[in-house]
Amino acid sequence: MKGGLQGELVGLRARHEADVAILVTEMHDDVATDARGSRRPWRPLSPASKESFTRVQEPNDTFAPFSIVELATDTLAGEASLWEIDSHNRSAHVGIGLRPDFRGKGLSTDTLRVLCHYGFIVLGLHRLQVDTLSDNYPMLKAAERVGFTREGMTRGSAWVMGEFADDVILGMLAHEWSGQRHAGA
Amino acid sequence: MLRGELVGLRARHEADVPILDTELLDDVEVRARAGRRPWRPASPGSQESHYRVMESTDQMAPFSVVELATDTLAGAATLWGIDGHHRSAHIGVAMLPSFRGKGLSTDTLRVLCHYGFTVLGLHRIQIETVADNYPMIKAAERAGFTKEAVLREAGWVLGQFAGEAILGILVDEWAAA
Repeated sequence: MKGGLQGELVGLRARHEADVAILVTEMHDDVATDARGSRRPWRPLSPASKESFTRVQEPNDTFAPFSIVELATDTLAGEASLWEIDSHNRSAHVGIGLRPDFRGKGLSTDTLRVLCHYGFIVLGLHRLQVDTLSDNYPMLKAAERVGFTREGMTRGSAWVMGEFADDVILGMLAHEWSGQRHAGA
Repeated sequence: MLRGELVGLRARHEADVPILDTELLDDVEVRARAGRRPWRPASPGSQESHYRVMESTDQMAPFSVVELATDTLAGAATLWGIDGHHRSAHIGVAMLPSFRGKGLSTDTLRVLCHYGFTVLGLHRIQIETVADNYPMIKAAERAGFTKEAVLREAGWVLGQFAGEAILGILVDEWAAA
C-alpha cells in the first residue's frame, strides 16, 4: 500500500468499491458478530446497499471511515473508523472490525495505534474513546496494550442476540499518547 | 401531566420559553456545563433554543417541570436518545435558579423513570453530567442511579477539560426501590 496511514502491520486507506462486497459478505452477513459490533439490530442488506456501514462514503467533519490493509500481503483486512469527531470537546470514538481470517494476529492493536496517530497528531484531538462489549476480550486487550484506560462500564446497555449485555468504556488522552511516543514505546 | 410528590411534568408551553431562555440558556456557565456544544448567543424566540416548543418524537420527549405546591414553572426535563432496540434512554434536567436545592431534581428524576420504565417499557436509563456536578449526582443516587463511569477530560468546559460522570439505573432496580 502506498500513501494513507501506515503502522507496522497495517495501513489505513479510504474505502474502495472492491472492498464493499467483501466487507458486507464476511462481516455484515455474520449476524451474531454484527449484533455485537453495531448499535442497531441486524437487517438484511444487499452488497450494493447505500445503508451499509461498509459502503464507499466521503469523510466529513464528524466521521472518518477507513479500510484496513495488511501490509505483508497487501490484502483488505477489515474496516476502521473515527466517529463522532467533536471539534469543540476535541474528542472522537474509535471503531474496528476485522475479517475473520485476520483476527488474532495483532492487527487490532496496530490499527488502534494508527487511529491514535490520526486522531491526536493529524486532527489535534484531546481524547479518544473505545466502546465495546464487556466480554470482547480481544478488543479490551488490544486497547489496554495501546495505552487506553478502562474508565467504567454501563450495565445492560446493549441488546445482543436475546439478552442485555454491558458496554465497557476506555479512554486515552493526548498527553498519554505523546508520553508513550517520547518514551520510545 | 405526569405527577410526582413535588413536581409535575407536562409539555412545553409557549409561555415557558422566554423564562427558560432567559434563566437557563442565557447563563453561559450553566449552558457550558450542561451541553456538549459551545454556548452561542440566541435571539428571543430562536428556533435554535434548546427550550423552544417542540413535538415529542420516538427519540425524544421534552417536558416542562412544574412545582406542584405553587403551580409554577420550575425547570426543564427531557428523555432523549430513546433507543427502541436497546430499550434505553438518557435524561437531562435543568432547574431554574430559584428552584434549586429543594429536592425537585430528585423528584423529577423519579417521574422520568416512571415515564421511561412504566409508560415506554425501557430497560435502562442513563444520566451524563459534569463530574463535579455534585447536586445532580446526589439527586441521581437518591433516585436509585449507580455511578458507572467517569470519562476523563471528556468535555471542554469554559477553559479546561472536565470529566464526565455516567450514572445508570435498570428497570429491575427501579421496580425494587
